[in-house]
Amino acid sequence: MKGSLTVFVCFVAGCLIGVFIKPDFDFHRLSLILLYLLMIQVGFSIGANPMLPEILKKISVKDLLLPIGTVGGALIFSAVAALIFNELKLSQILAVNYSCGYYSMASILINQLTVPSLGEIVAAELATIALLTNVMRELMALIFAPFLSRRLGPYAMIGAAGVTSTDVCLPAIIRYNGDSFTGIAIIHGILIDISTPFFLTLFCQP
Amino acid sequence: MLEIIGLFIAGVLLGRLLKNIKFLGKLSGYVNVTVAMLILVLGISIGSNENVIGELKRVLFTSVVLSVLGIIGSVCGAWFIGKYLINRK
Repeated sequence: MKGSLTVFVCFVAGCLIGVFIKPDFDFHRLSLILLYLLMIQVGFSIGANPMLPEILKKISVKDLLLPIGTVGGALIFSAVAALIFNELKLSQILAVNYSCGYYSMASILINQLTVPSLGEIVAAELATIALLTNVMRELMALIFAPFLSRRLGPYAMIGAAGVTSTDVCLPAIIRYNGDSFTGIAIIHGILIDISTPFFLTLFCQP
Repeated sequence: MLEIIGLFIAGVLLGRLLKNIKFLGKLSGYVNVTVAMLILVLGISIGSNENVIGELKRVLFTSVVLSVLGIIGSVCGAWFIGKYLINRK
């Protein structure tokens, strides 16, 4: 929750600065450098995780199929939106929803990747949609967690959590489904996490 | 944008190699700071973009629809895979 709040505050602060001050500065260079830094940091924290070997040992091959269900389901259902929203291309909708809750990475990456082909204005708009969509998704996953677990089972709950099954939603997953789901929840989130840059790059090709 | 993926992999390998060095561990813990700064910059480019602010209602509506579709899709997909392919108690 604290993370989401921080993101919200930074975003609003940035918007206000943009609206009232309109700084004349090349933010692209800065955000590119910050993005590179972020990728190294995120990779580092996954690689340095002392639990990593343990987590990897406890997983069966079949568990690796779960993220495919999560992401596949999200993409198939989101594709319907392409019929509703005429201004959005299918590939853009898929890019927004691929990460299943990874609001920081999705919005930042989509912004960087689509500026060349869509121009700054449309890229910023798409990035905003990505940010808001994924934040809302994370909040919904937290709110509906107990209901999902009780009515539909642990896998539905992990699927709802999406990429956040590794961190934000992990305590809830363990609480409602038991310790035995720790490994599968973490690897589920990590797989979505690490595949996001690949697929977003793919979807954002002009 | 292959350099992004390359940097990520480099980060994972560095993390694996250097995980016992506490100082570096702390550094990567500041991911939140980097994210916060990136979001701030994103906010600035959006705020100084008159077009987006004008379209706010549409953007919000689009986001709500996409997030609902996405989460329902994920729940269905994960439930299906869980029930028919994994079947663990």
